[in-house]
Amino acid sequence: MEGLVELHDNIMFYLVLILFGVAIILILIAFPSFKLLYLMDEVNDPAMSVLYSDFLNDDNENIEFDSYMIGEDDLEEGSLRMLEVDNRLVIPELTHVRFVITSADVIHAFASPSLGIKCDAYPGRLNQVSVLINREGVFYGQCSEICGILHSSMPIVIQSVSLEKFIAWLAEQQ
Amino acid sequence: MSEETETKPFKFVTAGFDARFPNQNQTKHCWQNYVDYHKCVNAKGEDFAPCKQFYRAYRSLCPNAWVERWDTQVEKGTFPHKLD
Repeated sequence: MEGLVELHDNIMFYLVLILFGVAIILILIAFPSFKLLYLMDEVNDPAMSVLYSDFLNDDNENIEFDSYMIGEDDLEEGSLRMLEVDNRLVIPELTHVRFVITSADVIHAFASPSLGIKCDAYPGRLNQVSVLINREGVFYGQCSEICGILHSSMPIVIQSVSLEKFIAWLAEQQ
Repeated sequence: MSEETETKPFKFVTAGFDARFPNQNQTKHCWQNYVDYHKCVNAKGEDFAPCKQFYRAYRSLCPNAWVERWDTQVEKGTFPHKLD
């Protein structure tokens, strides 16, 4: 005890004490954040997967389509320049959807700010993000990576519809 | 609208959560299911129903171009993994 009393007017003692105290608190509150951070990446029990890439080929089992930007000359009145596409990506509302994102040539990025998703697309790698849309609507986005001359700002249009309309759309595609 | 359409109950099915692949990177998830499917078919035969589980998983995760490339590799015997 004698030693501790002597430390009472020792500024280094308090400095070290406070620094260690703060460090311990920071470490303790970091771990719940790590847990949340890793849980955010997990996709639990999705109902469907959407594979988004710039691959081109035909297959009968999966529904597959291209989604190209509508040129400035073909735009209808009221539609958005550089954002409208010919085939919208249709997904049902209130359904847990997993997006699997990849690329065939260079790095792209799949982003839709109003859905809160942004994910890079790398050749040879599959990235997943999950989405659950609560309402019907059209959500716009653009490729968020400078991906090359004449194909920057590739538009992304996600349309969320009711389940009945989605099933009708599925039947249309086959 | 007198036409009555009969709707059958159905369920959306896709590859679920796999504790081996909890991360954003799902490349190995796709690959592992492809390998497992072919191992399963080689061991139990094409008609063994549980193998379909792997098939559905890799069909919903892998890009078709990858699957085509791997299929040709399997045919030629140049697939870079043992499948038996």
